[in-house]
Amino acid sequence: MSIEPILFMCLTMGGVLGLNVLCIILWLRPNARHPPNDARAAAPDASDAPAKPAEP
Amino acid sequence: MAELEQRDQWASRWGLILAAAGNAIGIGNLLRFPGQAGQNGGGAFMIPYVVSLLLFGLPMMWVAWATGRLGGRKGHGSTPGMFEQLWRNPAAKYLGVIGVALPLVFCFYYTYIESWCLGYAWFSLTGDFVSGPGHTVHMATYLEEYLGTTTTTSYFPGYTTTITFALITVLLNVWILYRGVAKGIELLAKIAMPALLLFCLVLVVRIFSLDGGKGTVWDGLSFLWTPNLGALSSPTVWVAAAGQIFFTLSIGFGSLECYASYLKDNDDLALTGLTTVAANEFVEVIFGSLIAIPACAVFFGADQVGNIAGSGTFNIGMIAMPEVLRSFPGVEFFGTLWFLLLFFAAFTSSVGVAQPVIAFFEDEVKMPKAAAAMIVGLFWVLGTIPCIFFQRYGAVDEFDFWAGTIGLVVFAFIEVILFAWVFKMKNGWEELHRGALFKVPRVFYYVLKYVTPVLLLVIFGWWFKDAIANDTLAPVPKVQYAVEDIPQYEGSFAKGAPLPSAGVAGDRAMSEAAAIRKAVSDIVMAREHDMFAWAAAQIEADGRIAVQSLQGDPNLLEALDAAALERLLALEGFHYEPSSKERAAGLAAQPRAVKLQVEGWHRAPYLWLVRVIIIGIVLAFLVMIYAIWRKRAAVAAAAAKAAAEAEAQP
Repeated sequence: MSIEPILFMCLTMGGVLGLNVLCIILWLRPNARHPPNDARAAAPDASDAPAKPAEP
Repeated sequence: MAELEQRDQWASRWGLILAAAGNAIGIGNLLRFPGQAGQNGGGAFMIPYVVSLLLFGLPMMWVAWATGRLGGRKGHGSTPGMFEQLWRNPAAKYLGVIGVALPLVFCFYYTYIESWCLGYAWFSLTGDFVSGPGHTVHMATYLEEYLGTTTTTSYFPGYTTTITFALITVLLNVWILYRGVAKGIELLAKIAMPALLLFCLVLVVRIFSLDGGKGTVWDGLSFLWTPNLGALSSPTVWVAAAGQIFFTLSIGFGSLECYASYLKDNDDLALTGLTTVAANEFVEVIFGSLIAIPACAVFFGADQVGNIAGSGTFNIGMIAMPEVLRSFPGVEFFGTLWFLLLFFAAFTSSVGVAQPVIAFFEDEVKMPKAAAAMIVGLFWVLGTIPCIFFQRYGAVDEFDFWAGTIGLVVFAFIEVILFAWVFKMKNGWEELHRGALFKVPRVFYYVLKYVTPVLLLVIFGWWFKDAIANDTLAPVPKVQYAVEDIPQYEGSFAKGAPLPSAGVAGDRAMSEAAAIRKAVSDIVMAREHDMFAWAAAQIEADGRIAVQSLQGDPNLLEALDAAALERLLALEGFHYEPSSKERAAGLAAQPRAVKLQVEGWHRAPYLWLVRVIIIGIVLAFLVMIYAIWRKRAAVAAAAAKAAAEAEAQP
C-alpha cells in the first residue's frame, strides 16, 4: 500500500474523529447541558407575526 | 397550552443525540458509502464529499432542527404545521404535505429492506446459508428467491418467509412508535446505537484478522482510499458525493424536524445538529470503509473489489458479505452480527422517518397515540404488500426513485426557500441560535441563503436528467435468466467479461448483448404480459454454457432462440466456475447438463400502480389537511362570533 491512500485515509478519519471530539468538548462545557434561558430564548419568535387571513 | 404540555419530550440529551444519530445512520453508511467512494475517485471522493457536507449537508441539518423546534413550539410535529410557521400563508401547509406523505411511502419499502436484514440475521444464526455437504448455497439466487424476483424455487418455495419477516419488522416499528418518543424511540436508540458500535468494532477486529484469502484488507483500503484526482474534473463524481451526503444525513424527510419539535427553547440546536452530523460521519467514514470492502478484498482478491463495489448496495451487503463470512470460521456468530448491525441501523432510521406521520395524526388530527399508531400501522402493512409481491417488477426501486430520491430534493428545496427567503434568514438564524451556546460561523448564513438552494436545484436537475437517460421514467420490461435447481452444483455460476467464444469484447459486446435483451423486452412490451422460456443446456469443460434447445412462450421464442440465448450468455460472460473440490476430482472437464429459465417481466402496470399509490397518498393527506384546517377556521370563527356577541350584550 503506497503512502497516498494512507495519507487520505488518515486525514479523513482524523478529521472525522476531531469533529467528534470537538462535539464532546462542546457538550462538556459548563452550561452546555442546561444553557441559561436568556432573553432570546424567552422572546417571541418571528412566526408570531400576524397571519394572513385563513381559508373560509 | 394544554395540548403543548401533552406532547412528548425527550427524556435526556444523550438519548436525543443517539436517536438523531440513529435516524441518520442507516444501511447506506455501511454499504452505499464504500461503493460510491471506490467508484468515484477513491480518496479523492472525499474532497467533493466534504464540500457537499459543508455547502448543503450541514446547513440543511440546521434548517431541519430550527424549523422543527419552531413548529414544535406551536404544537406541530409535522411539516404542514411547521411550514405554516415559516410562511403565514394558506398554501404553506399544502407544501408541507411532502414531509408527511413521502416518509410514509419511504417506510413501505425501507422496512421491507430492513426485514431482509432481520431475515438474514436469522438465516445466519440457524446456519441456513452455510455450505452443506455436496453443495454450495448460491447467494445471488438465494437473495433473488427470498425476494421472489425469480421463479426458481431452490431455496424458498414461496413468499411465506419474506412475508413473515416483513410483518415482524413492521410490527416492531409500530410498537416502538406506539411507546412514544422517550419510552420508544429514545429507549431503542439507547440500546441499538451502542450495540451497533460494538458490532462494528467486533467485525472490524474480525476482518482485520482474516487471512488465507485471495487478497488482504490492505487491498480493500487501497482501492477505497487511493486518490484519483483526475476524477474530480467529472461532474458525475461531484453529484455522486452530493447524493451520498443527501442520503446519509436523512435530510429532506421531515423526520429530523419532527425530532426537533420535541425540544425545549433552551436546547442548543446548532450543537445538536453538528453532533448528529459528526456521529453519522463517524460510522460512515470509519466503519463504512473498514468493514465491507476490506472483507471482500480478503475473500475475492484485489482484482474483484472494483466489480463488487460497483455491483450496488445490496449485492455488497446481501451477496458478497455472506460469501465472505461463511468462508471463515464462526459464520453463525459473525454473520448474525453483520445482519443485526444492518438491521439496527435501518430500524433506528425507519422509526425516525415514520414519527412525523404519527405526529401528524396526533397533533393535527388530534388522535390518541394508540389510534395514530394503529392507523399508520395499517397503512404500513398495506403499503408493504406491493413492495413484496411486485418486487420482481421493480416496485422497491420505483418507490425509492420518487419518494427516496426526487422527493427528498424537492422537499429540501422548498424547506430551504421557506426558511431562508420567506421566513427570512435573519429570523431563521435567530431561531437556530435561540438558547444556543455554540455559535454557527457567520459564513453559513450566506451559504444557506444563496449556495444551498442553487446546489439543490443542480442536484435535482442532474438526477432527473439521469433518470431520463437511463429510462427510469419509462417502465421497460425486465429480462433475466436463472439456473434451475442450483443447489445441485457445488461450484458457482458467475457473470464477468465476455467469454472468448463471444469473439468480441468491451463496448461492442455490451451493445450486442443489449440488442438481444431489447428484442425480448420489445416483444414483452408489445404483447403486454410476463413471458417465460426454459432452456436445456450443457456446461462445457471450459465453463461456458452451450444452449441446446429453448421452449416456452411462443411470443418470447419469436425474439429469442437457443443460439441467441447462448450468444447472450457468452457476451455477458455467464459461465460456471467449478469448486476447488470439483477441480481436484476432475469433474470440471466433464460436460454436465443444466436447465436455464428465461424470464421477461412486463413491469409497466405494476410501476404505474406504485405511482398511483404515491399520488393517492399525497392526495389523501392534502384532503385531510384541507378538512382539518377548514374545521379549525370554522371553530375559530364561531368562537370569535360568540365572543363578539358576549361583548355586545349589556
